Amino acid sequence: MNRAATVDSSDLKVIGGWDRFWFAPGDVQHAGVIRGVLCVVTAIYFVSCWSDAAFWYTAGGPLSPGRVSAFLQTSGLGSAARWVVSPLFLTGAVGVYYGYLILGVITCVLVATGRGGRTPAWVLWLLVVGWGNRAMLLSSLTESVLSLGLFAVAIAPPAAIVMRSGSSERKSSSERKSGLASKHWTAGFSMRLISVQATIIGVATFVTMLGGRVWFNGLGAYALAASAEDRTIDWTRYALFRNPLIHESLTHVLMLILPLGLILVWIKRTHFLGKMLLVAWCIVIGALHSDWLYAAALATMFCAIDEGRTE
Amino acid sequence: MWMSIWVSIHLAAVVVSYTSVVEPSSLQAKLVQFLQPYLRISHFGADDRPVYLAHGDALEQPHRLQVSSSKGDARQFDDTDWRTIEGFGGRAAPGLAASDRMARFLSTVALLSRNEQPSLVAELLLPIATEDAQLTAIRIVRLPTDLNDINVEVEAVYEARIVRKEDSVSLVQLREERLSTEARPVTGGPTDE
Repeated sequence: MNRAATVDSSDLKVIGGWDRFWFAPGDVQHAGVIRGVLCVVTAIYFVSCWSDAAFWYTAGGPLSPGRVSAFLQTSGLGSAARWVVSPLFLTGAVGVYYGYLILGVITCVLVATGRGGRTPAWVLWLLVVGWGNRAMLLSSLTESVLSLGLFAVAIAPPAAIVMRSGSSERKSSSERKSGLASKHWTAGFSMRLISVQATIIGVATFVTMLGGRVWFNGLGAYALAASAEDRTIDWTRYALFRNPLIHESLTHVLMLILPLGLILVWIKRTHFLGKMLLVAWCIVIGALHSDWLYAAALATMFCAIDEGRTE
Repeated sequence: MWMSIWVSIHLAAVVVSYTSVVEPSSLQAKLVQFLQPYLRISHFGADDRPVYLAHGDALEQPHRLQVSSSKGDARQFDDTDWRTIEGFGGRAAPGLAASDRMARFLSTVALLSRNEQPSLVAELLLPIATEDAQLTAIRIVRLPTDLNDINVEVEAVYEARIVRKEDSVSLVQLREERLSTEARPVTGGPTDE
């Protein structure tokens, strides 16, 4: 009898821990800041697609709807690609693509300023997914990370990236006193989801890096920068970077601080140090590999790991 | 409860997708296949993109698209006969999004060429070949990096002649001439001395 009672109470403890982890109320404003920064990254992403969108996707382009259809038919990938869904596959009209990008930027502004309720946040996620799926073989990890991030933050209640002045500030102040609007379980769930997703991406990055010998022989950092013609900053022209002591040390540091940061960020006492290590890792990766938007999106997701909710 | 079930499945799907980009096991491959409807519609999946950032592979090297208007055998062309296309919609600044898209496109074409898929390569490159009626040849070259041996030079990973017939345009891949051996009649068996 006593044993049964013990089992029941430990089961309840596990269930209680799980519920506390995912469903405890979280700070709406914190979620608003993370969402706002992700919106800035997304807006830059949409703007960056402007210059060559007409070439790739519109009628006559290498990835025009007709060409993609012929490519999939020839390659026999039709069945695998049937889940790659986007409204943009329906047309090759250049105006639609530019309109889509403008709509994307406007939605980013609406979501970042907390206007229009929850709908713009979900619309923004759908717009990123639609564009990412349309880009097909041109899409990178940036779209995937943005999709994961924007989906998670869309769950939280709307909030501006910065507190607005005037009536809304007074309103939010009174709501904060009553403890209703400043904390909400969806804000907590949203930040927890984005934090766990960021951790999964970080762990997967580390694990898959282990599959390449450059991360063991000290050339990993150099491999990131080696395609100098395709990099914003050509690090390989600096004698200091070419020095084996420097790039080999950097490789080992990059391999060390990623898992270390992922562990420390989930420990309450070392949370801030872990977050700084992860953000520093993103900055170095972005600078060496010119993965600017990917690094910015991932760093934002790492920043979402909330100090108050770490164990 | 439903939220808990969904979040468990969602996170498992992300884990499987992001960890199966380097030589997945057959179980991982089956799971990714099974989860494709969820991962692709939502664009949550890594979909074989390089989560590992760099492994120093040849496909990570810079690739350039070159076209030529010269007449004759493209394999005999001098470097001056080829013109590099820097980007579409204006010259793309290196490392920024437009340049990255071009790099991904060209490395995909190079991969298809390496996997002996000339018809798929032609599907992707034909729109570029048809843009200018003067073009006679098209190729993709791979530039060496500091990680390559010092003797490695610019290498043409795909080279094709542009053939125009009335209204149609097609690409005929040019391959390196290989040494071949002809069967010879056997005149005697091995002799032991």
